[in-house]
Amino acid sequence: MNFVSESLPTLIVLCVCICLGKGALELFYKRDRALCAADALITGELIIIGLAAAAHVGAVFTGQSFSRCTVMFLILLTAALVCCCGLLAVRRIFGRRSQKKAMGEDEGQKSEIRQKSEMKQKSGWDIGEKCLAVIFCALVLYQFIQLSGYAGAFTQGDMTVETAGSFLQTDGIYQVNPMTGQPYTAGLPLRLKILCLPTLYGILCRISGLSPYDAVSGIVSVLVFFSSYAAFYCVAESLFSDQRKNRLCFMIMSVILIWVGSYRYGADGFDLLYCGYRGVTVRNLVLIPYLISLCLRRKWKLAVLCILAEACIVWTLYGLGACVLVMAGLYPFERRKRHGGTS
Amino acid sequence: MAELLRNAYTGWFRITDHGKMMALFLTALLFLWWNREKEEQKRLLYYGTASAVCCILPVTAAALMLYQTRFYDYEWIWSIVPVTVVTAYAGTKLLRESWQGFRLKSWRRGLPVTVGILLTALLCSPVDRIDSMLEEKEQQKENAAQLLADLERNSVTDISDAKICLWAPREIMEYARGLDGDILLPYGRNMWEESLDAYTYDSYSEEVEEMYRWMCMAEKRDVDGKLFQEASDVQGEETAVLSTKVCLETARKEGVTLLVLPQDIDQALLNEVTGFVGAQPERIMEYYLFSL
Repeated sequence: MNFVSESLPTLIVLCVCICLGKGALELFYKRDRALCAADALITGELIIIGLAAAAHVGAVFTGQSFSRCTVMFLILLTAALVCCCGLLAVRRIFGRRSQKKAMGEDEGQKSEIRQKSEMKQKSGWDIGEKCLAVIFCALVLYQFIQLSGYAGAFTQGDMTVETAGSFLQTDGIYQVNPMTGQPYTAGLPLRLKILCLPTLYGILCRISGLSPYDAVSGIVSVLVFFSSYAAFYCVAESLFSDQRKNRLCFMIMSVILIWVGSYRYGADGFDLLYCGYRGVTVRNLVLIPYLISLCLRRKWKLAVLCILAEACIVWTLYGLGACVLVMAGLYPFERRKRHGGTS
Repeated sequence: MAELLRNAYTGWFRITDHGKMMALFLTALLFLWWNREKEEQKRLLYYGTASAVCCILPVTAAALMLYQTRFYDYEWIWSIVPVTVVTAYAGTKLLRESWQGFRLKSWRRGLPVTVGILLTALLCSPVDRIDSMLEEKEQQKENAAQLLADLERNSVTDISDAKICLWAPREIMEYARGLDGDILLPYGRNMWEESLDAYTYDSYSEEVEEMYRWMCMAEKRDVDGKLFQEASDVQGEETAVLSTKVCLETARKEGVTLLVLPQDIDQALLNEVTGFVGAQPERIMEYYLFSL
């Protein structure tokens, strides 16, 4: 893993995701303080997956080249970014004005100062919290080093890297068999053809100028790694909304369990640390934990986005994948609670 | 259907064979049920339990395997079970109780529990085994990258402007297309990884499969990739029927331009190849290189 050439694109992608996510959250849930930066990051990623799926499906069914697909994606992404930034700016300007109008100018300033000091008091960290945060960061750093060491070495059961490489090489989508580089003789299943992950990774390679191996096992694995902990943080938020120590302890437990579960292909830890770029890893370690947190917080609109994102990146039964089952499993308990059940 | 049920039944034993993550998860569920009166997140507990039961019972597990398109193995049905979330939640609750709300004063009770949790976590994960496997894979990848870089520099490869079509040992073929999308192969990883066949309707001809078997013989491996321990193992395999000449002719027909053979190839086999090609091989790293 080359840190110098890969860290800048990773940071740019992170910033773009957060910006897109903030705009979408503003649109879906106006000024909901329960939603944090972690929510914005994952929502942004869901939007990027959606945009990539639109560009990919468009290119596949109209027989466009990969270059055109890249251009299409960039246009969609720019439009989405402009909309999000515009929305955020408009909401901020009008939000301030209406706030000032509601209470007099002086009173507004006073309340702002009061709010700030309250926030400061709330955000003060005691020594125990600091210790827990340091332990968490140290463990994450250790895992990050572990991830960088073996990135892309384990290839079993997946051919995303080869597929992205074949798109770049032929400037076409599914023109050749990624395994051999020879033209297809019998073709490939349609359900597979509409999955957009290789296209998204191919676009990332083209924009960053990195090889498929470096981009996929470097940038994407790192992004998925941080997104996964962002998703676990959202779960922690929904389980222990006003107990920071509990949240930090939950995060430390998650890091340890990821490490414990790194012994077997298919286990959460192994997938996150050694094959983070795969569709099933994104689903199991980003989408599903995030979906659980959304169900616990009753944010159903975003939950639907998770289901759609899964259908775009993982081979599911006509779009019905694991996310649908998780939501279907958690929703009845939610209904029971709403109707005065035992929960 | 019977096979599906058998898979669902044996799958549970397969995933609990090595590490003990599942034992940890079931213990966490038990702990949460034990304290369910005080439980604040009953939804998570009910859902975690229901989904785990569905994945363990063979009939429901088989239904879930059908639902996930049968493309994925048994272990992937566990995607719907929040194993890490529930275990981490139970661990947090246990620590909170033992430290009495994370107060440093309660270290007499909290510290032993914390150490116990850490020890259990350590004992539940045989990480050494996976580390050695990954180190081996990383080494293979670096070897393949080095060889491909050397091939580009080597004079033998300056045959024409046409793309390189490489026929090499499995350890090189595994990484060749990922490392360099320009390189063509007569067969890919899906030759020995059956699960990858689901990605395409294409299949290999008998002759190409024969080429793979011949290369396995040259590498002194069986078709599953295991190295032969003794010379008698090689003879035990049905290698006599594999004709070097036929395989090399198939390779030419498939457009192979470069043939890479391992250094420890049987001398008689190497002589046969040299005779067919009509030129002495070049040496690159630990391999012989022929231009076909």
